Amino acid sequence: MELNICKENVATIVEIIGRLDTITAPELEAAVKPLIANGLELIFDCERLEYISSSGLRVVIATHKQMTACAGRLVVRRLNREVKSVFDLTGFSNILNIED
Amino acid sequence: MKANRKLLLSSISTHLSLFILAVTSTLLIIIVALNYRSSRNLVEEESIEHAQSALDNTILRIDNVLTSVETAVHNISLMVKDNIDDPDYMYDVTRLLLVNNSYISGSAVAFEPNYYQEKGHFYSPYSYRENDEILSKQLGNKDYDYHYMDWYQIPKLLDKPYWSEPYFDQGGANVIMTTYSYPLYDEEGQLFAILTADISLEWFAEQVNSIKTYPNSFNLMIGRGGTYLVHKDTDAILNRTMFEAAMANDDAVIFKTAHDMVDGKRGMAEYDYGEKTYLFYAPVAATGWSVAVSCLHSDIFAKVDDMRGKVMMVALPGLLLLVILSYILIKYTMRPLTDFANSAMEIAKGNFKAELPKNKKNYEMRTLHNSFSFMQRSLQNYIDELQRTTANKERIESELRIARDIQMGMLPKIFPPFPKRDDVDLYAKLNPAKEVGGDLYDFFIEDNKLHLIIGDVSGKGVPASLVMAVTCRLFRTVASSIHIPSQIVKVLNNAIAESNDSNMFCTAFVGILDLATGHLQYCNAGHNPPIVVSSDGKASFLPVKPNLAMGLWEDFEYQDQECKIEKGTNIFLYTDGVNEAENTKKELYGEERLLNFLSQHYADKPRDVIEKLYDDIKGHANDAEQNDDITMLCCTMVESVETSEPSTGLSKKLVMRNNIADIALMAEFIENLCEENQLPMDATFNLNLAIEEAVSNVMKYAYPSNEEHEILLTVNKENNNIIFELSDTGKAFDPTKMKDADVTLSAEERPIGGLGIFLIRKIMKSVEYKREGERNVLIMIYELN
Amino acid sequence: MKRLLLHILILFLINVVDAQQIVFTPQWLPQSQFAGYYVAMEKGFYEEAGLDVVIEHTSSSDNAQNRLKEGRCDAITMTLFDAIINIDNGLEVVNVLQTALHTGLVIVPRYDEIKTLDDMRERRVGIWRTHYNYLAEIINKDLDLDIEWIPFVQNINLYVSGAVDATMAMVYNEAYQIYSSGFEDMNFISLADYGYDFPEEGVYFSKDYYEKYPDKAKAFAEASRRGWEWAHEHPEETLDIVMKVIEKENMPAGRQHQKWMLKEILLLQCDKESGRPTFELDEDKIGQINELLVRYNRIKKVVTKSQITGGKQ
Repeated sequence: MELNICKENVATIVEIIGRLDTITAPELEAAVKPLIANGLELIFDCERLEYISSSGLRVVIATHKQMTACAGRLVVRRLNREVKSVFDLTGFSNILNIED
Repeated sequence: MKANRKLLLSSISTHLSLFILAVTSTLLIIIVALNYRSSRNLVEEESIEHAQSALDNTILRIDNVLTSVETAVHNISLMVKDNIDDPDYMYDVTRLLLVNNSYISGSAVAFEPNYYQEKGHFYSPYSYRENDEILSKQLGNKDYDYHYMDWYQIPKLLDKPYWSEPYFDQGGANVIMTTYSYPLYDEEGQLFAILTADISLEWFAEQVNSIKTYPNSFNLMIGRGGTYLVHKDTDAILNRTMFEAAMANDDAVIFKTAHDMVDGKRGMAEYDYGEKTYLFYAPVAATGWSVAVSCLHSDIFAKVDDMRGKVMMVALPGLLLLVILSYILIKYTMRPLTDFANSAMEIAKGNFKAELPKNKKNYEMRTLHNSFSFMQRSLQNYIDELQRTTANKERIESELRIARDIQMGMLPKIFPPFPKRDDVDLYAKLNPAKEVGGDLYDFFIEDNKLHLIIGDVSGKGVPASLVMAVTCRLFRTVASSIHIPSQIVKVLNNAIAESNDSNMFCTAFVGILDLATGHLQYCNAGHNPPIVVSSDGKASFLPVKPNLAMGLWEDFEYQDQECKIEKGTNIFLYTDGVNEAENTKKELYGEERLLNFLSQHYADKPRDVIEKLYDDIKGHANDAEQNDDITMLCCTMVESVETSEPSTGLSKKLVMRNNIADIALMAEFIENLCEENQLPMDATFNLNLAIEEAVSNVMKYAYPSNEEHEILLTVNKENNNIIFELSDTGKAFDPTKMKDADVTLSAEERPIGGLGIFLIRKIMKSVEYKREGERNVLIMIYELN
Repeated sequence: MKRLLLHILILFLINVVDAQQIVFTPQWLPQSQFAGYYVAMEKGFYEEAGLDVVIEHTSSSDNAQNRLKEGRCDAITMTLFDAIINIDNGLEVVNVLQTALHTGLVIVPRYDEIKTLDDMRERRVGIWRTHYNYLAEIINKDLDLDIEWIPFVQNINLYVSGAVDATMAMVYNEAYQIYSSGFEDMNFISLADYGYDFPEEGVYFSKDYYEKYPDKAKAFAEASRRGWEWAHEHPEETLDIVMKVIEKENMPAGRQHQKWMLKEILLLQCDKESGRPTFELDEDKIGQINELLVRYNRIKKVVTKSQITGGKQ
């Protein structure tokens, strides 16, 4: 998995490329941790995210909770069909801010 | 309590205090003893003086009285002589004597027989006191012939005045008298009368008795014959003599003293009747008596002893106080030491910032404090240093672990590797030692030829592992274009030798087996010769030329060898971690044992051979640490057997370690499976997801201790269903019992967990768990549509 | 009538009783010298013999012989010498018991140079005023010594004060006094050595009484002898009895003195060979005394043993 982090004004974009599974999920977690800041808009760009498993989902939901707690928000963007179906299946679509 | 007492006894405070006590006591005792001794001497001298002067005083008084009596008598005698012709006047003479001298109680002028013819044989005018009167009478008569009385006869015989030995007064009343007799001589020198004066001894007794020296003193007076004249025991008076007393007690000292006294000597005697006593004596010269005064040693020394007692009474508590005070003081001064000890303890526990006692009252403590402080700082620095170093080391080690994982990842792990083929079976196992190692193996089939390599990089650590990685990858690349073993080895050799400053080398065996013909072409580079086991159980080493280990000499000319492999033969490749496996007694597993084992298991499939051999090796090692990688590869040319397989022809197995890195393997496996069976994209995604969840659950729950264990995934196709069987030997864990996540909850309410099993259920048609002996078995069925 | 008879009876009985009482006077103040009699009293020997004995002592102004003469007592002790002289003088006495076998007379020199009687020639020697003064003449004449005899009344002050060069002493009395005055090395000169070993004390009854109550007198003698024999066997207890008597009479007494005295007295009663008292009157000795006394005209004629012992034996 690869991550590209780009800070813009009050928003930070994290581009997630590849597989977000049990192996790679800790990487994302570690990378996101220092980015949590008050009032921030954090964006996960998932255009090139191929696969997600429950470990990845956990990191996403945890990040969402942390951002909400500090008056920020997490946006999950441009999910592909299979990945989106997992979000739907698990009901995460209702909770997260998903944008195309 | 016992510990406390021991502590007390061994404490510095105790020792020092006791030492001080000992010294002080000794000094005190010496001083007191000396003082006492000299006091005693002084007191003794003083008492002696005191007693003697008391004695002398008394005697002086007695003497005075006696002298005055004598003088009176002498004076009166003139009167007698003057009036010698007037016999009757003698009554007046005696009366006068009495009148003028109150001491005198009686007086007589006793004449020789018939001195006055008219007066007859007895003529002795006598005056005496009765009550307050002075009476006179005639003393001598038939019944009282005074001429033979001591008071008359003795002075007559001695021709000198005589004080008589005291006697009881005839009037009774136990009054003791003594008589002074003064002989009177006429012109011819003839005795004609004795002039007498009687005095009572009462006054003398009083004087003697009044000598008060000491509480237990007694006084006595003895006469010329030693008869007691004054004695505290009134029975003894005039009744017993001092000589008698001496003889009764067999006391030579008293006897001698009595003699000395009677002889008119003056002196001091010491005797002991149970109580040591001094006896001071002095003579009453006029009468030949002697007065003695006694004093008990104990009396004399009473005061001194008393003083000594008082000193002791003060000293002892004083000493006790001294001990206690010095103990307390020393303890107080020493307290910083105990504090220092405590601080040291604190520091030793790891609390380097522990506070040191601040007591800087004296030089020694300050020095101690400074040293301690310095030590503390040095320790702190050292520890910090150590921590940094350790952190570094840990970082390096964790990186090494990652490197190791990467290494392992490079090796083919999927067995059976060629499930579609029925002419060859192959199994390999690499059990790494702790550190990153240098063993490698690889294999692939191309053009119906099995390319094999097994190798062992020299040395350990990162450099070896780097060479191993390069060699591994290079083999794949090179062997896919060069199909001659020696040439492959040559290329590898040059590659390693080129950038090799540290003389790393790699032993290896490369072989190419034509699966159709059974022709094996191979090249050995300093590696252990493989073992070939024939189908009838004969195990032998494959003849190899050693050539040279790779990496040492660029452009070395390696040579090929070849042989024919029959069907049913096992080819066994291994590294020296196998035959050189040590037990605690440093005994090697050995080639002999290896050959025997392989021979025995000639009929087993490669997987069984290797797993059983591995167990055997471990059995030999018996808890000894594995210090080298154990690498084994076994392949067999299988007799083709017509087996009826399930119509689907799909049967795959994947063996994973309990390591999340192997999830990548699983992903690859699923992808291959889906590709081979031409499943759609979403099926691939979903199967990947479901299997990943199942596997990661097993890794998390069945093998929680992170030990190396295996997870087996088998896949079978039956009609429209793909049956996944996931099994492991971990602790009993039934994932179906986990609750599904509640997907309706909001983000805040949603627990992070339970998603796995939920997804599996959603994806798979059915999920079933059973516990088979020591194994968890999870059966998931996916329906193809 | 009856009353009269009763009175007469009573008087008679009193007389009888009176007559049966024996008044015994030893020749001097109470001391161990008379221990046997005290023992007989104390131990009830007289009582057992059916005798009612009263012991009355003499005083310094009185003497036993006078008392006997004047009838104030019935029995006394007396030396043999005195007895012979007195009998010769007409004193009627009977010896019922001879206690002493030997003489206790000694001469004690005061100064070292006097070692024998001979050394006392022309020297002053103390002698009792009231007793044994016949010896003075006898010794002087018999031994040709010309001693100046100085009479003393009762103590040794003459000796102690050095007024005499020697003194006669009773071995059991004055000798002790001298000894206890610190004169240790007394060089006793025993008169026995010069042939004057004459028995001394005995018990004498008035002839009158003896003839009237011979049985009583004999009984008294027997009991007294018993007393002495007992004293020989039990000297310590005898001493205690003596001390008791002395204290009762309010006399000053030294126990040591009495002890010495008792020892010597008992010794004088013993035969030199057998070491036992015999209570015998030696006829030969009587003869010797007689001879001496006659020679010096102390007695007119010889007094026989039978005379002494009352005509019997």
